[in-house]
Amino acid sequence: MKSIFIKNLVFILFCSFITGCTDVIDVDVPNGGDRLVIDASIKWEKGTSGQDQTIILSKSTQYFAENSFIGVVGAMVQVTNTNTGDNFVFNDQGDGNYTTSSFIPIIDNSYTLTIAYDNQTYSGTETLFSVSDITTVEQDIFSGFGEDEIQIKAYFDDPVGIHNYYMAEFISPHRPFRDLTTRDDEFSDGNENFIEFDDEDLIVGDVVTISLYGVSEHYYNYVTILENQAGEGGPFSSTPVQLTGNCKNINNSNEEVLGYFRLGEVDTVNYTIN
Amino acid sequence: MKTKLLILMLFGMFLGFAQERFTISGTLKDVTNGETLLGATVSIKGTSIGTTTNEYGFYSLTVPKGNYTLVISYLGYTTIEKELVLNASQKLSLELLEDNSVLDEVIINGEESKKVNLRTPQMSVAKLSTKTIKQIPAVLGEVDIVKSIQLLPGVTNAGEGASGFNVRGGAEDQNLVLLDEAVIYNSSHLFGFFSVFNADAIKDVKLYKGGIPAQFGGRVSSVLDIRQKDGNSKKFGVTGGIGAVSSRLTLEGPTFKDKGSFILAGRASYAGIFLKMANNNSTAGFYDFNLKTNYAINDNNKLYLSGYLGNDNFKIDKAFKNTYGNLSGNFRWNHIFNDKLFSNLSLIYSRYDYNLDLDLAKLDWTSDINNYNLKYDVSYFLNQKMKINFGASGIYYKFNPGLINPLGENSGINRLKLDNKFAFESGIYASLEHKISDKLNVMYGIRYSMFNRLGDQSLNNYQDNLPVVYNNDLGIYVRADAIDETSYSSGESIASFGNFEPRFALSYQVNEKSSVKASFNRIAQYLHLISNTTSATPLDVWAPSGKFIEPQLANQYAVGYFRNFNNDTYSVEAETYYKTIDNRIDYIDGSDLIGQNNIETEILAGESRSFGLELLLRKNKGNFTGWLSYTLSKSEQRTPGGSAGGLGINDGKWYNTAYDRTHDISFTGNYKLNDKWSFGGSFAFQTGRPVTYPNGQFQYNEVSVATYDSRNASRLPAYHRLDISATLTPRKNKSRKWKGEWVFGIYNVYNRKNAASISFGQNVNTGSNEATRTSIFGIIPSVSYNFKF
Repeated sequence: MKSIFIKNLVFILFCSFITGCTDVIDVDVPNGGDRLVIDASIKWEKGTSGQDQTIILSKSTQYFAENSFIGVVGAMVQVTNTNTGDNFVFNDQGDGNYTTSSFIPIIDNSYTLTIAYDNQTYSGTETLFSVSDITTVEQDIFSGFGEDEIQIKAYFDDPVGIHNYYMAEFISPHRPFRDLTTRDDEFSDGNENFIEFDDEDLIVGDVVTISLYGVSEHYYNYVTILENQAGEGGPFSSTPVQLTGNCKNINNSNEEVLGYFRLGEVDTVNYTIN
Repeated sequence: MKTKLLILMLFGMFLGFAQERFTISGTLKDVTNGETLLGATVSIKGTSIGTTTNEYGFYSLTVPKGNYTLVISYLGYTTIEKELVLNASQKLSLELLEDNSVLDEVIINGEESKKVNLRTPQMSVAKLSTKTIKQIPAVLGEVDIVKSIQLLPGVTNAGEGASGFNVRGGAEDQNLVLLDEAVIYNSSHLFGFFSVFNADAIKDVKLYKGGIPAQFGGRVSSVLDIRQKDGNSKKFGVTGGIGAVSSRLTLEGPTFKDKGSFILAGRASYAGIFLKMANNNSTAGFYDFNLKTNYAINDNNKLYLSGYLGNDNFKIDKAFKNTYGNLSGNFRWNHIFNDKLFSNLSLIYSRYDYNLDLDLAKLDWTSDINNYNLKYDVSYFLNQKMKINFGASGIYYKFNPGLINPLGENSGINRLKLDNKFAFESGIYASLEHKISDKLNVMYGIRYSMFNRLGDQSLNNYQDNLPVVYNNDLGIYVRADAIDETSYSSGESIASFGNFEPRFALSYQVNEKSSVKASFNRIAQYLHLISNTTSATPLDVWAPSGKFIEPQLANQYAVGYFRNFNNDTYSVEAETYYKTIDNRIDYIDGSDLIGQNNIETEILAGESRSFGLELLLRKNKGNFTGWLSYTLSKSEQRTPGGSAGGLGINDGKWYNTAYDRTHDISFTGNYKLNDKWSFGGSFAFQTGRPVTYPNGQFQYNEVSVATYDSRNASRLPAYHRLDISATLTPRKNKSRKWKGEWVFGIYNVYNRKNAASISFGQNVNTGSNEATRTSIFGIIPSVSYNFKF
């Protein structure tokens, strides 16, 4: 259990006691300029070959910009397996997507991403992590906050003796973007673990998708901070910080490179609300 | 033989040199309820000779033989003048009458006390009587001491809903909050909306912002010294009130066959007011009890017992349960050795504990802090020119930073106990108040404090003794892995620190109406509140200095100018200060503190500094009284990488602390229309709190992620609000035994939605980025009824 989660929970819960809590306002925010974004998540779906993979390159924009995605074209993208020496070239699709259909994922191998763009070279290294299966998905009614909400819990078994880190994604038909959450086994090593999601708009018949990934400690920290800073800003939240990924400009280490290069096995389950 | 003769000669010279002197000493009390008066003035009319009563109402004045007119005065009370023929030392205890009914300008009242205030070297202190505090309109009609001190210059808070307060750009953990000498760790109920102090049980409130006297130590920014009432020693009385949020009841009276008195006060809130907004099965509330009793064994010995118990609890259905509270007790023995020597021995226990049950995570969390304190303070009133204070104090701490247990049968949580921490803090001090001339008064003091971090625990050892290292590849600070552990047995010293803390103050009386003051203090603080949030929360734990954390050390310089106008109707105080604090901790990016047994892996040490100008204009007399204060200040910190490598937080550059407020304007006033009605108003304006805003966004994994600007470089919108109140005292009150009054108030009259925080994120329906403001209080009217009989 992480402190930010508890603190935000505590704040939300307390806020629910008081009238007139929140409203949307116009705020002037500074403009830090555009930076390169590397959205490189190699996902090896359990039971598939994992050969089709996509890496997305884009530029960051102003915070309230209308168009929040500006694809980067004309870059050269490749991933090398440093254990086997295999090289995988990702082809420019002209809209920021770079794809390959010949990727070979191997558990616990180390991979290096290299990008050549605008006369600069960017690079990042990561290991491909395995993950436990999702054993069951259960549905529950959670009425703690007054209204009844449908809560989904995905269970998995945590391997004992290793410090494991997980990330989970939750896609609901009612949300325009996916929910990310992280978990580690600090307080629950070796036990049956669960990740839960709730979405108050869920109704019978909805199909939700839950994915569980095994990740590195550094990526776990990255996503944990990312999620904590996404939307909660009560007086009990920590000072927001710049996320630092694992990709760097090897010619100029001061350049801020956004995004992350990571690889992992993923177990995905589709669940119908009943 | 020769030396003996020499000593005798010197002694004889000394005796012959001095005139025959006699001492007048005694205790000053309130005539209606027998309460001792703290800080009342006893002076010789027409001279600059005078003294004030101490925390127990005791004074001592040594003057040459002669005839005098003694003037005894205290703000809010009728002055007594007494002719005295002094040809022997005598005891003179007097009782003063509180003057409630006087409406017109009173010429003598307070004049002598004002003069002594100009002369005393003590500066940077604000003293608030409970009477003044009760006139300030407060949240939901509840009288609040901590909210009242925030209307004074140099005092702010970290935002609505934040607990604690900030003094002269200092953090919330740098205030020593004492209730009858017992340390209170969390001075707030309901996450900072109310303070734990029940004004009905409180007699005196003093806030030292600088020039902190040598008898206090342990916190670098301020001392909030709160003294409880002793209890009415003349007759039994009941006071109480029914308010919008809580009700209170106080009983007091004489005991022990009139050799003592007691006071018992209780206060409790209703869950109802919150249930209305929350929905079923939720409760939120608090209660507190104050107890004090005393027994006078004889004229020279008096025993006191005081205690406090408070608790907050929140419950939402079965999902969430949170309780926390303070418990403290103090047993004291006042002993008067002779008419010049006064001493006090105190035995104090205080405890703060916290419990959280989270059903969502199936987790139960408990943490607490206990301390046992023995202190001995002596005042020696040598003569009319010199007063010496000295004493010693020892505090033993036991910290339980956290015990995590599984909650319920299906919990996946393992039991985890964070190591208990033990420490012993001690101090000895001596200070001399020296009246060098009629115009010049100086106070020199020195305190030596020691802190010993003790075992029964194991501590990690790290490569090169660095628990945090800068990782060049990733560009961030990471936790180092422990290479092995060292075990310390119970009582074994892990680390010890010692610091000299000089305290110096002087005042120079320019003329009858004005004076200039200056002070310097150096203070060491050995405890740190570990919190990485923008404002303190009950989840934060107190950590003692030790192997990896150095004590905070502050130096504060202050200079001030004080002046009374128009026969003391108005007074102006201007002070400027500069404070530096070494070893101020800040947290590495992404630090995770809960359940963290090794806090040293999350922190870096740096320094902070603050400086400012405080202006206060008061109107002290007449139908309209009040004050206007303005503070212009800056508070910033810097946390370089140091031996951990890298540049540090915010690249090692200075950044605003989370509680930096450039402008702070407060106004409070009370207008007494007639016997029946009086009106009050207060207005506060503060520059918005520093925050870190996003400076762009990018798309990652199909979500919009914000990128951030430098730490604390932006500001929330300015905070301001106006409160008003009206008090109705029915005319029938005068003759009846039962006295009641109605207080009507409106908090935040023009309903300004002050931003407690602004958060940024994607709209859950449209997915586009938006900024959401969270504000806590809109306009809130309230009615309460107070009674007394």
